Amino acid sequence: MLRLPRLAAFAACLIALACLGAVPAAAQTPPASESITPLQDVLQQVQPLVANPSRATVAQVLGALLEADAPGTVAFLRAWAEREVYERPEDGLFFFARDTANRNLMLVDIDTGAEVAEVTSREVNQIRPNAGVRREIGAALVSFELLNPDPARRLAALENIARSPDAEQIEPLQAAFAIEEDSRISERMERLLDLLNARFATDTATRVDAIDGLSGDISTEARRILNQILQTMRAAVGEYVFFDAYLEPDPAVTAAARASLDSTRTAISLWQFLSISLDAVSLASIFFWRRSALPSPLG
Amino acid sequence: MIKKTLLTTAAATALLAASPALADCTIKVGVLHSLSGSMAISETTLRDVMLMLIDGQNAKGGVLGCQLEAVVVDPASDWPLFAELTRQLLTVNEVDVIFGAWTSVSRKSLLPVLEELNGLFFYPVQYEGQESSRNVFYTGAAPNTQAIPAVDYFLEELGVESFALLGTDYVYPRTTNAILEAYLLGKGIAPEDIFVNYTPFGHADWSTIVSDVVALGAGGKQVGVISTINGDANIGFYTELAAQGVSADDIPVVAFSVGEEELSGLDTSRLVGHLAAWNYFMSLDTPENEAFIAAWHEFIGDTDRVTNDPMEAHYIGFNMWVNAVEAAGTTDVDAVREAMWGQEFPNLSGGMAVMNTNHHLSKPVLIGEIRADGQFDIISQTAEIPGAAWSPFLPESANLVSDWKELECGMFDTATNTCVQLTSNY
Repeated sequence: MLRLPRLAAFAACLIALACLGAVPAAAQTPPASESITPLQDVLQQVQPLVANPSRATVAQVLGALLEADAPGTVAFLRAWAEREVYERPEDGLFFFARDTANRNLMLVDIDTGAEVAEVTSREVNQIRPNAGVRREIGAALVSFELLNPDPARRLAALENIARSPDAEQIEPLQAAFAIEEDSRISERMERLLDLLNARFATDTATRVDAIDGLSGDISTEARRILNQILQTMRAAVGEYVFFDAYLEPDPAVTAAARASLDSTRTAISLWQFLSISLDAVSLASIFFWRRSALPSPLG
Repeated sequence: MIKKTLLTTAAATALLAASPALADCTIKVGVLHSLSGSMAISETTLRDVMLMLIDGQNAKGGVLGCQLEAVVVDPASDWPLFAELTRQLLTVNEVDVIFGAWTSVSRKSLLPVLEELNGLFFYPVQYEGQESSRNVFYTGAAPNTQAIPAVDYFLEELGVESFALLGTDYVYPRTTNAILEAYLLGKGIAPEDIFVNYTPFGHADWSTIVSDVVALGAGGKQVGVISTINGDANIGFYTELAAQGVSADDIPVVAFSVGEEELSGLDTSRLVGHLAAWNYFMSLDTPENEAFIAAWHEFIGDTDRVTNDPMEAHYIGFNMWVNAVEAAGTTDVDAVREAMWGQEFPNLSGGMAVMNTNHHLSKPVLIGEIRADGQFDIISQTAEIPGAAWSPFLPESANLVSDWKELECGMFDTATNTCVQLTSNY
């Protein structure tokens, strides 16, 4: 059911994913056509890293999987992240599983989908990637999810990007934005593109445009991006002279960020001023009421 | 005269040991847990699990052929009352052993009485370390078997760069945070990326503090919270996290005093993914744990009741005490504490707990993520790690070790090769 542009964009994202981690030499697999279990084959070559996932090593697994490009890779990644993959200790093989009526697990072959054996939960190890690992897998799946026909899945993918913004996300996000038909989703995509471009775009004009787009936005995520651009280092020059140097070397970018953050602060200050003014009016009215209601001590 | 009394006691003990058939030889077990006040949320269950363990042991014929009798008192979350009731249990009720306490301030309060009267005490809760009393066996985690592995997990697996250390204002959070601060600085975390905040017991208004923590992220760094908040203050804290929509993906919170029991009154659907570090979780899939949960449900008459880490600690501690008394042939404190060294008992996570001569256990460290049903998904489990009484990360304790068997000292300075002191009035 995927339309052609979605497929093309997905191909682009797979290429981006392959850059995620160095593919270990051992992960060079024979072409998928030579094996009836191509997915299991590639997983077995990084077996300990799949069975005991860690943030430091997950990129190697992602790299190996995408290099091999076996059928069912995306479904496996999603199941792995969702803690739906099991390891059988005696042979180290990986399985999907479904619950049986008598509270056991039916192991399911990850390549063929065939039912393999019914086991108790203690006979297999459920693999539970932690949040750090899931974030990495999630980022890899984001590109794919951005093109999913289900709008809820596309929105969830956008939240993933907002959480861990990354330069690699700009290209698939732009591709998805170009064909997005849901106005609510495309609005969110445009704002995220501004956030990503403000921080990561390589040419000054794009970055300044994106930063201007964030002007007056008082959300934490917008201020976080602007503050990151304005991060400073304090340098000591000579003996007694100190000055703040922006880590961002492009003055056009820092000036735009400064201006946007100032306008954001103006917006926040305006609210604060309004709030204080209302307090003042309230106090003044109490004061005048007391003056008029109570007899003057002198009088 | 004293000598005569001692001889009589020894003779009586020998008689008891030799004649298990004699019925009139009750062994008294003191249970000192708060059943009211701010800590009742955590401690009441520990009273119940002690009653279950004592019942179970009596059904098996008791200890040394004698039945066990529980003496339950309520220190009411009132720290000086822990000391008073310890004196009462040892001098009026004349108990042979006490299982009790949760907060470190309550333990610190009763320590001088316990050491003065040479009582025997089992303390079941993770704590700050920096202590090794000759009269206490610590069956909960020390910092190296809970807090340090949890911080490593934050650094290595979640990429946390900015730490908010939130705690209740008493000795456990303050000492733990001092250790963690030194550890984080040693790991290259800048002082401005460590935010420390203390609140009183029962603190209810968390909106400002949670907002402050959220604001830490405006600088672009990944923020994580290390929580040593204790007792019912946790209800307000987690409710506020959920109210402000702080998801574990944005700002993970790892807690050291929140387990299944504390979560059982909360809607955890919005807390999914926040973490706790313990040596036990109810969700452990082992035959030992299945039997323990079944026994608990039968005893308490409610299959909805949860189990938790301090309950496992009492389970291990109680069974080790039973085996040590059987090995010593007496409930005499000095004989039992020597028989405790090296005691092994299967823990509920499938391994073997060992009582070391520093009076701390070897246990595995588990990290769990909160699930929507209030249970934990165990995402990390180590082999058994020996609990360390003294932290190597604080300069004042870097050279200290505890070894009651070989060094006969709980606070031994390896630099000067001397025993600093034998009592715990530090």
